[in-house]
Amino acid sequence: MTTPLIKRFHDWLGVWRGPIEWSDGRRGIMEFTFESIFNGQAIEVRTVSFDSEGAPLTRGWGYLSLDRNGRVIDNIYFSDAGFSVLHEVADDPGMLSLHGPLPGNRNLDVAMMVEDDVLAISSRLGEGYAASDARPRTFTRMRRIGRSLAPREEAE
Amino acid sequence: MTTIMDRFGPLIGLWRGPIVLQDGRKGIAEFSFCPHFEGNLIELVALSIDAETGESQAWGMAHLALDRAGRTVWRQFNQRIGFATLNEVDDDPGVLSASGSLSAGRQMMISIRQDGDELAVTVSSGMPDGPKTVSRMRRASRTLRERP
Amino acid sequence: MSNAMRLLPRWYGLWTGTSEHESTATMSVRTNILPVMEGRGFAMQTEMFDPSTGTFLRGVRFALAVGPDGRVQTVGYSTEMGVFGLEETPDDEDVLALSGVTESGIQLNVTYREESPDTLMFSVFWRPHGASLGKNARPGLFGRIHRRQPWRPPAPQGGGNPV
Repeated sequence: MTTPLIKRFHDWLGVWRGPIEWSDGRRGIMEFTFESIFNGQAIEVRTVSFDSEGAPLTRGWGYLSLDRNGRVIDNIYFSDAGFSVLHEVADDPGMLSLHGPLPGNRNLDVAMMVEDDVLAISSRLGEGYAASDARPRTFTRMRRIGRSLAPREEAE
Repeated sequence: MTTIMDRFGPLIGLWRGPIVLQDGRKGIAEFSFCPHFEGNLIELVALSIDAETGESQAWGMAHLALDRAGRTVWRQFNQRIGFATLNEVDDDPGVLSASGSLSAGRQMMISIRQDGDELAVTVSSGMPDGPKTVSRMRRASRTLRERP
Repeated sequence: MSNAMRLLPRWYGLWTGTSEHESTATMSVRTNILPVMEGRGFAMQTEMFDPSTGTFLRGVRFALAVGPDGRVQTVGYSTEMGVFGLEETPDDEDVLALSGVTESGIQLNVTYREESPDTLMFSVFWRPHGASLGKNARPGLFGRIHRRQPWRPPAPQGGGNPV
């Protein structure tokens, strides 16, 4: 039986990789892995980035699940940001937009979308009480690497 | 009883660094060594990544364990040459070298030298004096020990 | 497509159950089937425990992939038999069948059969390489494992909340 979470994110499961450039000039390769755990009750998200010599730049983990209202909760750790619980906010169909607080009066916005074997992610770290469009923003487009990691009947 | 971990425990973890493949392509190598079954098996997952696009250029994995004589047996797969079983051959202390036969009379040879947080890998899978895959990686994870 | 590459994506996940071994009592079994090499192959790790003490008795881990020649083979290790390489052999469409000779000279035959979508039966035969299987040969190891589902509270009976 497919869980509502897997039904929605079936196309996301697998490994994604692509070039990334940060607002501070760092460049490298970003990799995301989405893997179903506990029979589709949650999706483990692992991410890592490294420079052209392979030296680590960032790393992170997250667990995607659905709350009672069917909205996504993402409990994450990211080396540039720390720990946070992100909650889904309304956006276009097909888009997953998340927002949550960070330690030190900061906050994080993340928007993700999968289309035609491309995973696009943009994130923005905020600081202070007022939101500002001047906040540094990171954008990356990754391509699917290898085969989908969709479990069970979804794989057929 | 000596386990493979007693000999190669310091390999455990994630390593990354520049690689030049046998066919001349350049990329980023990623080697991940993970112990299983109380240190009797080390599993290696290896990958070469295009540094511009992030695409995988080459991938494979291997199981390393000791035979009854305490020599390393290396059973491996990679996408280019397929499956092979290699046996340890004599080399300098601290160096793991293994060789085995491939189809069509070809020979595969792999050599791994770990020195602190550096890992040097050389692989050849053709004629002994033919081109080689060469990588020098650095530790990308904390040192992982199975148990004190 | 080979049975292995068709069945393993469907079997991906955690399975538990019991097995019988020719020389020991019933064992608890835990099998994890997971993708490796970015989903291009699959690993199966099976651990067997004494059900009363939890003592780890034996373990097998192997990864299957399609080689450049199109054949499905394994990179594998068993705590009893050491390093081995098996190759997929033809069988019914709901069966993963593997056979080969270990580095220590043991002929191994392994099958996993899908009894139902959430139940797998497995059997392992082993004998010295070259010895015949025998007419009435029984598997050295036989077991049945079930897909692990997270526990859920049962649906309320009757209706209304208990006070």
